[in-house]
Amino acid sequence: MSAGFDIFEVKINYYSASSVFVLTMLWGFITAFLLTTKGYRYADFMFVTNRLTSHLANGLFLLTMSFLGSLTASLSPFLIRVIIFIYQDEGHITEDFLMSAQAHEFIIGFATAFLYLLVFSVLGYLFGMLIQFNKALQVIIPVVFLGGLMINSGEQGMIISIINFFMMESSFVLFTLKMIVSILVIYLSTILLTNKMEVIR
Amino acid sequence: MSLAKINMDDTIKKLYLFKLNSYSGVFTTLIFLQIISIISI
Repeated sequence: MSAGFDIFEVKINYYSASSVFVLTMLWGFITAFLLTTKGYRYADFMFVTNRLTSHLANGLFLLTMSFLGSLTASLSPFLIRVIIFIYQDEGHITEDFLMSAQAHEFIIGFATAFLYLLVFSVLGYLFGMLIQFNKALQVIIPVVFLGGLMINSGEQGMIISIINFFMMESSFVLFTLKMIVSILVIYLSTILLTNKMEVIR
Repeated sequence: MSLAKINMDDTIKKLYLFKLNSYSGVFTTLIFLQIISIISI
């Protein structure tokens, strides 16, 4: 954005790390989904294991994955500032702003990214496990989701309401509670749904 | 090792460490993805 007068010109550039967060969420979903595919599941049989231990080890892996993913994503704005500081002309970013960040802001940003990434990961895990039940679900679930977005669209739509329920929460404590409860519900349902699944499936 | 000596905590720990070692490639993918998205800004 730029505005000019006779004697001076103001140009504002916006840089955002949103794309880093979006790609990280996508990565979390796909990686969790991949954990449920045959190759990865059969690798567990090298150990004396059952469904529950597999699920719990996968849960720990998802937690680690989300922690590292959200940490790097939360630090990415600083990298962006450094890159712009080095490669752009002088004046884009002042030295004071380069590394300025309030500790509590960073912690809240990191915690939020962690919870979002964990939700996407457990959703990917649930989706992957459901597909192991019935291959038709790999078509049905996206169709129901996309169909729900299109048919029941607008602010009153069911899927939009669910998204708003999480994203429009202004209180951080309530947001954290909502996220933790959702993560536990999704993860426990995955364990309960697939606990009795045949070993080689 | 006898099957009687196996406990759940050990199994989960071994499985988890196995997954961390074997699937470390996903973390490399993450770093690549984030670098690509930063460069594209």
